Amino acid sequence: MIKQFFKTVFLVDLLQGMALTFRYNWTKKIITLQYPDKEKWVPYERFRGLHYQAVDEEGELKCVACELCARICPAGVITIEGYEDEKGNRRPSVYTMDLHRCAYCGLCVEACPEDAINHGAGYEFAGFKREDAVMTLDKLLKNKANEKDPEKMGTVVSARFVRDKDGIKVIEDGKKRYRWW
Amino acid sequence: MALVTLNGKEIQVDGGRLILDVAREAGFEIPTFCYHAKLSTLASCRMCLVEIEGMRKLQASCATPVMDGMKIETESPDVVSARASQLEFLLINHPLDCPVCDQAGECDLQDLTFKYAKPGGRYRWKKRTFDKRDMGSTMTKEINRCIACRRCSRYCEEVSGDFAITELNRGNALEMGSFYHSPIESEFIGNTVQLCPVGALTSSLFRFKSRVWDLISTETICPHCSVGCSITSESKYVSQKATHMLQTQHLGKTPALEKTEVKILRNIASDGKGVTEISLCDRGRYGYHYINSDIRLKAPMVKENGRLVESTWEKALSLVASKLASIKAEKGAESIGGITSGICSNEDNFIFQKFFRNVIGTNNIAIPGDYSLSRSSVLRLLAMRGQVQWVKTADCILILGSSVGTDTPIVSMHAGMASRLRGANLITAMAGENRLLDTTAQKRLNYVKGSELTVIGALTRAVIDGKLYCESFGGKRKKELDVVEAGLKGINLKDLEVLAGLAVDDIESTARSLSEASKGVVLFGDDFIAGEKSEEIVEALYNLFSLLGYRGEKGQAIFSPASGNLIGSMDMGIAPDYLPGYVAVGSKEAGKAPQEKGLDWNAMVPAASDGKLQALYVMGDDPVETASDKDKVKNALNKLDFIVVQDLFMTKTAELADVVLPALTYAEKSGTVTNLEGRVQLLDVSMKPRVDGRKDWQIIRDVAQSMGAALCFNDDLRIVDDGEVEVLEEISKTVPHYAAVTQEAIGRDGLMSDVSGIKQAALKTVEIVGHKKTADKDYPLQVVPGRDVFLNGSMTWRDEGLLELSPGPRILVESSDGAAHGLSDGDVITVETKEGTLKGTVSLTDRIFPGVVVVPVNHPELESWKLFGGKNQETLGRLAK
Repeated sequence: MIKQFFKTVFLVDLLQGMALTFRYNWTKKIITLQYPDKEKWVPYERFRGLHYQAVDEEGELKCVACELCARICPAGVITIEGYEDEKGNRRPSVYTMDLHRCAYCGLCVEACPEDAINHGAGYEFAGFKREDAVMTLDKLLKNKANEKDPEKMGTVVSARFVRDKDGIKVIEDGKKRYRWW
Repeated sequence: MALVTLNGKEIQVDGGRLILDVAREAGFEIPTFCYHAKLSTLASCRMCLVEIEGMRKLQASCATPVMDGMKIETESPDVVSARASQLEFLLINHPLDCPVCDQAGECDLQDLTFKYAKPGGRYRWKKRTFDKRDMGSTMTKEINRCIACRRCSRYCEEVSGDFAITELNRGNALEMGSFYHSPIESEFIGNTVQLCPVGALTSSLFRFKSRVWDLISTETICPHCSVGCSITSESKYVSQKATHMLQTQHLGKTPALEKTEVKILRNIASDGKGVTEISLCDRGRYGYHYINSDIRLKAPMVKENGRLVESTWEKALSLVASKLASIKAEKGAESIGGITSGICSNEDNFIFQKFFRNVIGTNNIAIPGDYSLSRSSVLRLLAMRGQVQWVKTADCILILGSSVGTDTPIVSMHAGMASRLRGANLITAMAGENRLLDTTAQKRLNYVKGSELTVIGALTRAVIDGKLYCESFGGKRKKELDVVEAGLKGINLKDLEVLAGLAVDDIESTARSLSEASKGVVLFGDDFIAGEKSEEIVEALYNLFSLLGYRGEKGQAIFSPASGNLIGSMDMGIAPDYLPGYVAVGSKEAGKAPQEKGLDWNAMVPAASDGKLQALYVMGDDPVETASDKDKVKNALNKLDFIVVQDLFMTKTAELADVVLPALTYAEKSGTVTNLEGRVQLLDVSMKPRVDGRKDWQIIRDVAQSMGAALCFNDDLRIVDDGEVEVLEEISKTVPHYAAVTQEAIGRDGLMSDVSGIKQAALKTVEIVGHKKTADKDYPLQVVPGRDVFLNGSMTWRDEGLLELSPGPRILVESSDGAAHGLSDGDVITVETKEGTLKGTVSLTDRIFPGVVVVPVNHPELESWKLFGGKNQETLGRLAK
């Protein structure tokens, strides 16, 4: 009872905890990711990130507007309208994903017969407007920049934080790259 | 009767029925590709093989009738493996392009492969390929996908009879297509797209627009002619521009974001519903683009400083109400007239006449057209409501006038089918184009335009002279026969050649065929009763049909007008001289309705010119564009003080109006329509309104409310948005022969209105003076107004799909006449008559008679009405280059 009283008054628990913290600070490797100021994480290969539309060698869309992705999507994220292009191919005139509703389940990617819709490695698309999370065909094509590179997956890469009129960005500079674990 | 054992289950069936039908009825599924109940048996796809005990090989159940004691297995190991092998064979050449194929989702091959095939095929070599070819403007052929079931070619041979698609080449090179790969000209070719079990024939107008599982289907009635085919309208929410939108249909929600709109993407036939059996004409199938059109009226418009400007509903309605009220107070109710159209639903027309009779207090209501009939003639037409079913089973068919073929293609298709498949005696009598039946008609008569009454008189004469009438007319009804004969003094069969250009033999043999037929049918359309003598023609037709006994068991007469709900609007009392249910104006039963007869359309035009008519309320019609004398109508309307138009588009009449109110199309409203048989059918809402419009009857109800009158629902002021049920209740209370009509009673196939309670007056004498064929050396040709199958009114003129389908304004010249004038297809010629001249592109054809030139009257840009001087009569002309 009295022992308990002295422990409480002299903050023994706290000091013990702080001691552990200090010991870890000096003896263990630092694993805190310096995101977004200095570093950025590149997720693993099976990560289901921001979607993108793939193109073939000639730069033409792979998508044939078959709407299988829209059909299988459990949340009704995808909207597609097809049309016949000049070459007589079936292509989407509208391909819109409302990512507010997306659960990143990956069924759309599974269903795609043309390997057109894919999950990239991207995860930075927070925005200030609702429209920012509604991916139109143009945006999905731009998102191809987030395509997964098997060699780089699961690494931490050095980056810098930029704030300009377009918003905030974390730009990889690739100077340093290391495996997280 | 036969006792058969199906998969161990014993069932009693009629002997001679197909195993396939019996098994499907008993609930056993047998897959098929080539089999179609309405087409002949081919038994080529071998999917329906079944095992029959005692037979060494598997048998095609679609071609094998049941016999007593048969033991049939539909799921034995042999059958299952045969199906799987057959599918493997079909998939040897079938491309696996389901993701881009429009048929995917409703593809028989896809479904059956999923269900019966083994995974993987053993074929490792190159597939057979063909080039993709367009077939006409509505169809794209991807013949690589063809599985040679020949449904399309059998349809074209047996049903449409135009041989548009046939088998080219043999074996591995077999390709379905048109002869010499020429573009297809057929009114029924869209049906082959629906019949194709795979994606070999696809619609160009639907191509890649949507997947079938995204479409919302609604069963409704085609508005494009009076046959009233059952269609399934399929619509989809699509984005207005390429902006974001949510696709939420399969979650059963409406789109959350605003920038979406609903569009009808295709119409398909509801097979086996109402009057429909496989076929729709292409006008009905592709005539939905006007609904999606951007040129539709979007908001009410009010004339300010001579220009129509957009306004609000409140403003427009109060203006209409105050103006009508002030004209009624100053000039009297008789100075207000109302015209409606045969397109509007029964509810629209009922409320319209109620508004005019109860609120305005006048009988000045009419439907503009080439003919206006008084109550007695309309009652005669009631006796001419034959059934489409009769045409299919008749053994003698007479078609009077070419508008049966162009305005109601389905009816004339059935006539052609009866002739081709069952050997029915098909006789056509036409002045102009003999569109569908040139290959199948046993006899083709050519009368001179304007001599319709003489044709009927001659037929009646031949019936009387040959004693071909019903037996009773020889005995106790002899007096009635005398009444009819009294009017035929001017008709002598010997002079006929000179009179109407008809051969005596033809008339006599036609009369004999009609009389000897065990099941006869006579079809006639708008153009036969058009003109000044329409009353006499209808009365003479009634006399003829009475003599022949064409009033039920022996034969039927069918009046097939172009307007979708003309029969219904007659039932609803849209006429100056009768009320709903054909109650005569001024009679005891008329009740509170105005006692004096009103003006019909022919009287309204001069009344407007004279200033007797001050205001005109137009519901869904465009008399300025469709009148046979446009200038006269336009000048008359210009003199009116106040015009209200409620329509879908800015029509020529709407341009003259003071207030224009946007209405809704058939796809956006529910209600009932009545087809040429008197069958009351339900319209259903296929899509939410695309514009800020209201249903026609709602607009009139709102006008009445603004005038301080309670109009609907038994004068009990209630505002119900979807009040069709209440209006229909009132119709069934008011109109005796609609007494049984409720939404539930109409059901799937529609409900026949029972007109048997309406009594016909005794036969009347119709004085027929033989039409004298005129001759003029300078004008050697007969110029006849013709119609386009695809374009027949203000909706179709604004329909991109139909405009594409239409061959365009072509002047039809018979081949030998063309050769005599040195013409070839596509030449620009001038047609000259005494009334006017017309320049146009010529098309040579064998579908018309020598010496006849057919000028299209339903291409408004051609202004061909000027050739005829505003009259429906014999017109002579000549051609000049």
